[in-house]
Formats: sequence, C-alpha cells, structure tokens
Amino acid sequence: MENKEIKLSKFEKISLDNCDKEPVHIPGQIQDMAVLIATAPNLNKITYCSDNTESIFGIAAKNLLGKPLSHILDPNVLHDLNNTLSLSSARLHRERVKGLTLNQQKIELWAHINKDIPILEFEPIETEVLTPSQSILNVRSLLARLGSLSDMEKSLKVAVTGLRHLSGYDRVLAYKFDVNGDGEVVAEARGPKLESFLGLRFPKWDIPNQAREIMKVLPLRMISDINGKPIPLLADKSVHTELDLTFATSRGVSPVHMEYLRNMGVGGTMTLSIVVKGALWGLFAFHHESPRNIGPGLRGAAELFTQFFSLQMEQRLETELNVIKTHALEYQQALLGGTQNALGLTELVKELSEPLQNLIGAHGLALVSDDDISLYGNTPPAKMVREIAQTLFENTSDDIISTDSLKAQGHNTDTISGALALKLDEDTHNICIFFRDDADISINWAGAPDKDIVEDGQTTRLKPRSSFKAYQASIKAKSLPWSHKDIFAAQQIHIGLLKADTALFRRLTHKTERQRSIYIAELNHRVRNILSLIRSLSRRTHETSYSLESYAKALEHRIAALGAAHDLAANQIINGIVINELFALEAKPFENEDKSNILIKGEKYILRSDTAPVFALIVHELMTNCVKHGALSVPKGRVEVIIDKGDKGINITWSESGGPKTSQPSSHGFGMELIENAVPYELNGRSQIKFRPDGFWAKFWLPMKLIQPFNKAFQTPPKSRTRRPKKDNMPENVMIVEDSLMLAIDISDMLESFGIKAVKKCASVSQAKSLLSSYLPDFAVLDINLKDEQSFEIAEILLRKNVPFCFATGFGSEYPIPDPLKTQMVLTKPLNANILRDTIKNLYA
Amino acid sequence: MKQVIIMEDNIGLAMEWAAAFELNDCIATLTIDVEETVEYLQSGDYDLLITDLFINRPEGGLHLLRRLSTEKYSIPTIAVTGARVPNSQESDKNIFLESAKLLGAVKSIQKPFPAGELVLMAQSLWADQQQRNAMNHR
Repeated sequence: MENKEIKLSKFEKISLDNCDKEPVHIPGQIQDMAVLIATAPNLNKITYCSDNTESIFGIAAKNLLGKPLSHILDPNVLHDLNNTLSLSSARLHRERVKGLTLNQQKIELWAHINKDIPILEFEPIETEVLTPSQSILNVRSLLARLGSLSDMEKSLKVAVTGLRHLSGYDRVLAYKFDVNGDGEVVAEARGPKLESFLGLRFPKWDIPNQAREIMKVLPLRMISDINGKPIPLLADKSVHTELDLTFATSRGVSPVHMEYLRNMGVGGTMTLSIVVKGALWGLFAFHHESPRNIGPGLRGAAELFTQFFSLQMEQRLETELNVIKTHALEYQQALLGGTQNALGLTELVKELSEPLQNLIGAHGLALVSDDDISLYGNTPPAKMVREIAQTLFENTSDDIISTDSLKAQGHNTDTISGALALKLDEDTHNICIFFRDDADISINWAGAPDKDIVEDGQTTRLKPRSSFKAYQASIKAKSLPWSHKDIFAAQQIHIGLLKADTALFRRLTHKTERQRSIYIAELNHRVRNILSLIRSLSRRTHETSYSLESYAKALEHRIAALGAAHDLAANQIINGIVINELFALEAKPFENEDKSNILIKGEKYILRSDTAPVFALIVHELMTNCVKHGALSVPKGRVEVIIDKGDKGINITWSESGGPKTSQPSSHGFGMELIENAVPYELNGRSQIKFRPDGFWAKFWLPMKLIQPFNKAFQTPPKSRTRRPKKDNMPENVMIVEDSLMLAIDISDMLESFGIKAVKKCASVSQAKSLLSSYLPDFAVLDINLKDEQSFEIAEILLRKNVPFCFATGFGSEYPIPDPLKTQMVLTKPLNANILRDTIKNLYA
Repeated sequence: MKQVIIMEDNIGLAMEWAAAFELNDCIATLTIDVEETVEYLQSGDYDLLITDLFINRPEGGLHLLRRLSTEKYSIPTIAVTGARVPNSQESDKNIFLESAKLLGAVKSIQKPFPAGELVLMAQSLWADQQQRNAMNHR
C-alpha cells in the first residue's frame, strides 16, 4: 500500500530529513531523574557514567570511570544484578533489579543490556505517587472496565480519564495517527482550567521517524522536567562510541523537542505507545504544567496498561474489520453469482456499483479496460480516467494504490481528488478505480503548521512552532483520506473482482466452444442452402427483369447483398448488433424495387454481442425459408417485422402475407429447428411459430439482459491470459473417478470407442488424490457422489492444474455444486456416448 | 441533565459510578484531588458531589467538606468511605461518616455497595429537593 502525497519543497525536505537524522538514541546526556552507569560486559569496569553520581554515591563521575562496579555496589546487589542481567528479557527492555538504600536515600535499581553493554539506572523514589501494587490493582480495574467496551471512541475516552486519574497529570490525550502519519487528538481528559486540545491535529513531522521507531519498541517515555538541566554522560577513555540509550528511561531529550514542549506550555510529560500489529496506531500523551515524575512503580503499571490496551484495541479493530469482511463477502458472493449470466466484469460491477462504493466510502467508480471504460456515480470524464489509470500504477508494483490529492498529481479533476485503484491483472489492462469527491475539510491544526526553518551551524532544521493555539486550515483540493478500513474493504473487493474475472473467463471459454459447434452445423447447412438461394434469387430476378443486362445487374446486386448478410452473421461476433439492422441486412437481397415487400418497424435495440450471432442465424433462416417457401417466393408476398418493448424484454414479430398458402409441415428441417428452438435454448427467451393459412408467423421474446445499451463496446477477455493450445484430436490420458465399478468400466469402454486408450479409474477421493500426485491426465470424468463423499476436492485440484473435466451425476442429485465449480459441465447419468464425446471434444479442444 | 462530580481515587469504582450515572442521563466528572474538585465546583454548575472521605492524597473528602463549609459553598453531597473505626462498640455507626454529616454531607454510605445504590440515593435526594423547592415556592 502506498499513499502518494503532496511534495515538499526541497528546502523543507532537507530540514525534515535533518530532523529525521537527529540521533535521538545517542543523546550523550540523561535527564536528572536518575544516575546512569554503563560497564564493560563483565561488570568489572565502569565505561560510562552520568555526571551526577555524587548525588547518590558521593563520588564524582570522573573518579568512577575505569573502576569496577564493586567499587560502589556491595556483593549482594552485584549478585542480584548478575541474575537480572542474565535474563534474556534484559536485552529487550529494562528489568527491575531491587530497591536499595544508598546514603539514606531510597533507590530503585533498574538494568538492561544494549549491544552487550550493561546499563544501570539508579532512580531515587521519594516521588512515587502510588506503590507498585496499588498501581497494578488500579490498572487492572481500568482494563476490566475497558474490556467491557466495544466502542472505540468510548474506550479511548475511558482510557484517558482513567490514566489521568491514575497518574495525576493535568492532561491526558489520546492521539490517533492517520495513514499520512499526522496525529489527531481523539480523546482527552483534563483539569478544569486547561483549554481543550480535542480534535486538534499535529502534523507528522512533530514526531520524527526515528522517534516513531523507538516508540514502537518502547511502550513508555517520560520527560520529568522540561526545564531540568541535562546531565552529561562521561565516557572512559577506553571507549570511543556513543552509548545507545534507546531503552534507558532517563535518556536525554533532543533540544528541539524540549523547545517544542516548552512552547506547548508543558513542564513534564509522558507518552505511552499504542502499537497495533507492529505499527504505531497512536499514543497516550500526558502533560503536566509543572515537572512530574510518577515513579518507577506506577510507570511499570502504565507500561503494562498500554500493552494490554494495545491488545484490546487490536481486538476492536479486528472486530470492525470483520464487519467489513462480512459485507465484502456478500458482495464477493454476489459477484461470483453474477458470473452465471453476465458477460463481463463491466456488467457485474454495474449491478453492484452502488453497494461497493458505499462499502469503501467512494462517490464514483470506474472500470477501465483496454477498449472500454464504464463509469458509475461521480467520476472524472472517461478520457481523464484513462490517464489517471495509466499514471497511478507507474513506478509501483502494488496492486492497490490510493491518493487523496489527484489534483496535486497534475490531474485536472474538477471536484474529485480521491482515487483508490485496484489492478485486476499483471499488465494493468484492467483497472477498477474508486473516486472520492473533494471534501470541505477544515482541519484544526495545533498551531499554524507552516514550517519554520532555522540554520544552526552546518544543518538546517525545523524550528518548533511557538503557538499551539488551534489554527483552522481549510483544505480545498483534497478528499477525505482513505482510512485503513477503506483500504481493507478495497482489498476484499479486489479479491472478489479477481475471482469473478476468473470465473467469467472460464464460463466464456466454455460458451464459445458450444457456439462453435453450432456454427459448424450451421455452416454445412448454409453451404447447401446458398445454392438453392442463388437459384431462387436468379428465378425471382428473371421474373422481374426485362433484359439480359438488367437481369445480370439485379442478380449481381442481390448476390452482393446476400454476401453482406452472410458476413454479418459470420463476423459480427465481436460487437453487439442493432436488431433492425440485422433484419434489414438479411432482407436487402430480396427487396423489390420500391422496397415495399419487406417492412421493418420499431425502436432500435442492440443485441448483446455474445448472443447476436445466434440470433443472426435465426433471422437468416427466417429470411431464407421465406424466400424459398414462404411469402417472398412469390412477387406479391410481403413480410412485416415489428420490434417493440415487451414485458421485461423485447418482442419481435415476423408475419408473412400474400404468399402461397402454408400449412404445418410434417417434419422440420434444420432451419425451422433453429427458428423454433434456438431462442429458448440459447438465449433464454421464448418463441412461438404458426403456419397460418395466409402466411408463416413467428414471435420471439428476448429477455432484457440480452439487450445492451448503445455505445457499449464488447468487453474482450483479458489478453494476458494464456489458453491451452488447441488440439483437434481427443485426449490421450483420461481419469475416471467413479465408485461403481460397472459404471467405470462402461465409461472406460465408451472412451475406448473414441480412440482413448489410456484410462485410469479411481473409486474414491483419496485414490484419485494419490493418483494425481504422480500423474496428470488430459481430461477427467468425475462422478459427483462417491459413496460417503463428493468429488469436489478432486475437481478443485484439476482446476488448479488446468485439467479440463466434466462431472457426471445421477438425475436429481441432491448435492449442490460449490460456487467455484458451478460453471463446470455436468452430464446426467446414464451417460450418452455421443454427448460424452462432444463434451470431451469441446472441453479438450 | 444533572451534573455529578465524583472524587474517588479507586479508578475502577469511580468509573463504575460515573457509568451508572451516565446510564441515568447524568453527566459525571471525575476529579483526582481536593484542589481540582474545588476548581470544578467553582467553575461549573453541579447538582451533586460524591466524595470518598479518604483518598490516596494528603487531603481527602473530610478536608474537602471542611473547605467547602468554610468557603460557604453549598452543594448536596453524598459521603462515601470504606474506612471502619477499629474496635468500635456501635458497629452500625461510622464516626467518619458521622463527621462528614456534621460537615454538611446530606447522605452517607459505607463501602461496599453497588453503584446502582448511589444513583438511587441521588435520585431520592433530588426528588426531596424538588419537593422542598415546590413547597417554598408555594
């Protein structure tokens, strides 16, 4: 996931980079709340110590460097220290060694190891607000209270109230970071005199990146006195590196950060990190007007609190995401279910465009492919959408990308600034983009977010702003940012679209194969017909021509028109066709001089591209039969075609008149078969034919879903996919999964009669699975119900391995086929050899 | 909407009480010490004070009540305590709660008690108050 953002000026960038490079983990100084001593790995030599050792040990720091630790600690303490430092956890965070009394002062000794260097912190505890056990009990009841809350907002409110109560700080804030890293105060508990910070936003550069990294691993950071004098860290002459104080509670503070806090009017502060799934979700910030140190006991309890709170938060977020996932799954099901009838993604998405936009919080949706763009809701114009689609995925390998500032990226998108794009194939031929309108966002920044840049010595850096008074900025050319939730929803939709696309592709391939066999049968029939047609044309032309010249001209003209109609039926597979034009084209060769014999009336409707050729054949047969035997076989005959809107579909009425008397024929030829049955069988429509005494009459009803609006180009299947190489012959290796041996032998015999010799038989899923582990058939026949199991698992394996197969099942099988397999061919038992052969041919081709 | 101010150092209890009042359409403010409680009382319009007599601070509810009475600040108050007088002969009387009443608390209650009890107590207190106001008005 990537989020493109406004570019900073070069100067601003350098300054921010410098902030990000400030080595906050090696400040070379500590806060005065503790004494810090670091030693050689075996504790026998003090290598670093803070310049305040005198306050506890009565010995100046410079006199301690180089001495063994036993110089200041008695053997009992050293024994406990050795034990503590042996814990593996002491290399991850501070561990408490014990409470000591040194020079009549109560001291807490904490220790940890960083890069093999033992680091000890001696902290006087006269300031402890609550004892460790009181603190833990309070934290426990606060967590119990929070555990009962599922609402995020409420739980944050309760948390800050509880934390303030527990810690006694003047103000406790909960910040949440957005996808850009800016923080917003989402909950606040404060004393009566303080101004509210609730709703204020803090730009992301307030917390430099390296500080964020430390926050991820260190749950608590306290700065007890903003105006406290930093204590320098002295190093023994034998060491030459800066001491890494990442995990030291007393770690010194960056002067820039001190200035920032002073400007905010803070005397002492503490932060607790909220880390969800390894990322910094937000933080609790504690502010006190005067210096404040709550002591190690309460700090330990607070650390524990924020770690538990983070887990609770993770659970709440997970629940929220599950709600989205449930909705997304519904849409995924709907998308997959839609693949039964829809032709392409365009059509699928059209049905669901509104709920999908709602789920993601978008105002518009575009589906972009190489030769088509479909737009729903509020989107930029098609041409611009294509430009956006092209640029969004430049220089990234991500499948999902988002921006809230299209305009800043150079797209003149008027009132739309948000885009969240999903790549639906590897070569970005197909892209789905959600658009979001500009939002009238007014942001309450904590202080003017303009960046003050100062140069000090060799570096330029940002100067902390001096005022944190709410500064309202309204943002014009931006949409609301895409949240983690939106992006999660997008990921779910992405999966749904990819699944649907795959299912569509498989079904289309299947359907195309079926249509091909119809075309071949039609072609044979047509070749035979064409001769009789030409004979009929020549006869009719002869009857109305006065000279040999006019006869030749008219004949030539009609043969050309016949050719055009033929082309239409043969070639218009790609684009949908206007029904009226289809009739007109077919009629053209047979029109008389004044074009009065063929009348085509009605509105223009486009027939969906995949069904158009079949319908073209029907029209062709109607026309041919009419010319050969019907009304147009005589000069006075007439045909009237009426196309009009019917109930949930289109009615097409064909009526002949003035021809020879017709009567029900004793048997149907291929042409009549096609006219009568192709519409119900292939197009899910209805047909009705009558041999009326005054002429042949037919009425067809085509469902509305076959009718395509104007200007919608056909969606070609994605080009990047590879198909199986075409073969004309039958497969060599076929696997049969069938629990009845007799039936298995039966099928095997059939296959043998098709010339397939290598047939393997399995009776159960486990047999089939073990066979498939070492063998890959070219084709498979799967009985669905195998005694106590179904063969769907095998079907899925075959799908993955790209092996074509068909199911066989007894009539009225009660086992519903799972969604991903619904598009597979199902044959009904007992198997018919011819059907089985055709099925194998079609699927294996 | 009634506004209640609660000074109680045990967070679990304070929040449970606040939640019980919020469920009954009241606004509850939690405070952490005497100083802050006084500041809140002076800066807002509150209908009820609930105070623990001993909190984990140098000054507790008894100090608060004394201070309010010297400053002649009047607010219906419920005093709460978990402290018991050791070896007390009169087991049903708590000397701390009795002192709180002397310092102006209208009602008092000994821990432990369910949060709902506190709300009922507050509601009856407000009802009495309303009746009294009506009588005075007449």
